[in-house]
Amino acid sequence: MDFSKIINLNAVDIGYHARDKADVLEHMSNMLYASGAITSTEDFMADVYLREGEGMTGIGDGIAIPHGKSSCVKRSCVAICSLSNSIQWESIDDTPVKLVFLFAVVKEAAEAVHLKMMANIASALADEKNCALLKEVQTPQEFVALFDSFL
Amino acid sequence: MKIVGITACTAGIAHTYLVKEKLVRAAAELGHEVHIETQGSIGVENQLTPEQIRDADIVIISADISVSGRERFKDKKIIDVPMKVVLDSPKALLSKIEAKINSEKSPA
Repeated sequence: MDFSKIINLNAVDIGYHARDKADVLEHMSNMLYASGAITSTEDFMADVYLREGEGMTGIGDGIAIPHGKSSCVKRSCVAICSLSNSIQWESIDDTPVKLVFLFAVVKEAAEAVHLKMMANIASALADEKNCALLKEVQTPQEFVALFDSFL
Repeated sequence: MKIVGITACTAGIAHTYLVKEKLVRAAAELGHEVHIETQGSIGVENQLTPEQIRDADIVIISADISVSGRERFKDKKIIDVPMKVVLDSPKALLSKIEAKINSEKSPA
């Protein structure tokens, strides 16, 4: 499985200083838009916030997995933002978030292989050791290499 | 304890698989046998077999949406658990379930 096919290397930012959750979601959505993966930042964010309303995306240990299944997503991919600070985010353990994985999913998701890779990313986050390694990543390529190694 | 279960979240992208993985790892650490079926955007994966269901001591359903195939468990003890609870403390959850099952078994 080649995670460079799902991790959008043009939508990875390491060391971003975020004001708050809205700021980081907008920043990541803008990166996705600039990379051509989505056709509208506003429409995409509306779908992301819809999902936020359905349940917590802060999964604990400083990690969040917001996602948007949206008609404005042209290709399913994952944006990553590793913050230099930590921000408030509705989380199961109430700790602030430092590492955000934003999944952009094509609405009529026919590409099973992309869904499978996103499922694998989510599964990998169940392991605290994996999460600890992910929080130390310094370059976008390292994310790809790590997820490749987790399988 | 032999556990079977289903996970299914609203978007079917991430929590479905994350919660399954948390359950599987916690169960393995505690020495339980576990089979978890996921119902996500990929479709049904790791579908439970009739034998697994027959032999299970407990069915755990952790889902934000209604799951399909619930009728397979009609003779089994089912426990519905919010995904948040599994994510937060999966081992504590399993230990509680085990204690409850043991206390309900008639003494030998």
